[in-house]
Amino acid sequence: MRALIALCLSLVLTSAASAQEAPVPPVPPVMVAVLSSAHVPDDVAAAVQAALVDGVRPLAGGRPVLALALPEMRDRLAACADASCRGAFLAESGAIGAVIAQLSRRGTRGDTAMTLDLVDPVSGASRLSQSASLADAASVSASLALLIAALQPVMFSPPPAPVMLRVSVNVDGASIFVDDTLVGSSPIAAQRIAPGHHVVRIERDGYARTQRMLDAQPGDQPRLEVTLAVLEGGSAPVATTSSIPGPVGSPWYEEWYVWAAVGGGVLVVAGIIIGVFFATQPGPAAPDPMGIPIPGLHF
Amino acid sequence: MRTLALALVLLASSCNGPQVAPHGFTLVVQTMGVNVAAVDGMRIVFTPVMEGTMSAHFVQPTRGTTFDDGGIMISVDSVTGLLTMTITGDYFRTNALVGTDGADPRLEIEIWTDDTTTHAMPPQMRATIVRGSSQIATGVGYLPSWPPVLGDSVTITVPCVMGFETQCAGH
Repeated sequence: MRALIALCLSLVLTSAASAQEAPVPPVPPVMVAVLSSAHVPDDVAAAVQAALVDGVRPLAGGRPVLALALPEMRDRLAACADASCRGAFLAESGAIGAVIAQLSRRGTRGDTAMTLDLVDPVSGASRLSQSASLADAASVSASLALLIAALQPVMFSPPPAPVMLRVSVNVDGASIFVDDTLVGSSPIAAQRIAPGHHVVRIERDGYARTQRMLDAQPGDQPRLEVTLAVLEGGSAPVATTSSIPGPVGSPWYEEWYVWAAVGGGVLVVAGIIIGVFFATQPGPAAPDPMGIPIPGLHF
Repeated sequence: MRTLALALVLLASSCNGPQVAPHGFTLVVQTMGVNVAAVDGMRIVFTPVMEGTMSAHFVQPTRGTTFDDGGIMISVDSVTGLLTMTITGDYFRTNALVGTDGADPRLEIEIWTDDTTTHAMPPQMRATIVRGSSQIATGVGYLPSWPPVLGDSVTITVPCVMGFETQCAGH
């Protein structure tokens, strides 16, 4: 059912369209649903939906804003008599919450009454409920402006900052996997991944497979620079695991070059100390010349 | 790394290596007409030379006065300031270079001083060979410089004094 609902959500505007291939859990969207009763002109309902999508998008904090488009889905939501039913509907859809406009009109003449609710996920309770009267489709945008602005203080929290992973490989055409999911081949643009622990694997025929681990915090922009070593004789790829300093890879103290540098530094310092020690030691007195020492001359 | 460590060890060991004593200034006493058997002893008197109106004198020795088991002795006259080096006959005969017949022995003595004050007029040296109570041969020379330069040498020719040929021959 969740998949069905997701399919039924027509994608109106989304900021996450390019991240589908990366192993990123989908950012829960904000659902916009316009539920119309009989006699509500279609153009008014369409105008309300367009105005809501445009108006909610800046408030969504980067979350995609999806409109509930299929009539049967709208009917199912409209059939909900209580908050728990709406909460269950939203939970199945995966949305973080919904902005639901209920339109009604008495007869075929007169204004369309609108109730605008910001609905909490799971509970289905309304965080904010507002009402307005819509004369016609042309006046919808202006009528909704203040109502949409009033949603901002109670709008759903923005999604966590994405992690943008950049992978640079010394050869083109290498397959890049993130947590065993192929995300592309080199050269590859920055990949949006979820915060947390990931294993990045890079492989290409004829080259030693390389695997890196990273722990990414929200907002991190880890950068992997990978050099694939050519395999002699074209044998099967050999798995190698390494890491890089910084926010990606294992701690710095596990890097061989760190300890090589430390060892070299210790040797240099020891050499300097030994040199200074011997240089400052009073050397043995120079031996007297051979022969008879004769006294000096004074005036 | 191993090379660096070896270099450090070699550096450390070279700092404390034994040092060889340099040669002193060689004073060569070359006799003429003298048989080594006639030498009962030899004296070399070092006389400071006045530099203008300034006279110089040797200071008292501080590094000993007897050397080579008593074969060589030095002394400074506290009145005149002259330095006298006395070589025993035995030392002379033992250490002098002589021909097959013992004639014209040559004695080489190394000397040095820790005086570093340069003197424009180096001391004069007078070498005298003594037989009994007679001075049978004598010669004069000068040190080439003061202080004498280590490794250098000078030769004093000491001929038999006219009239002492018999004694010089050891008879």
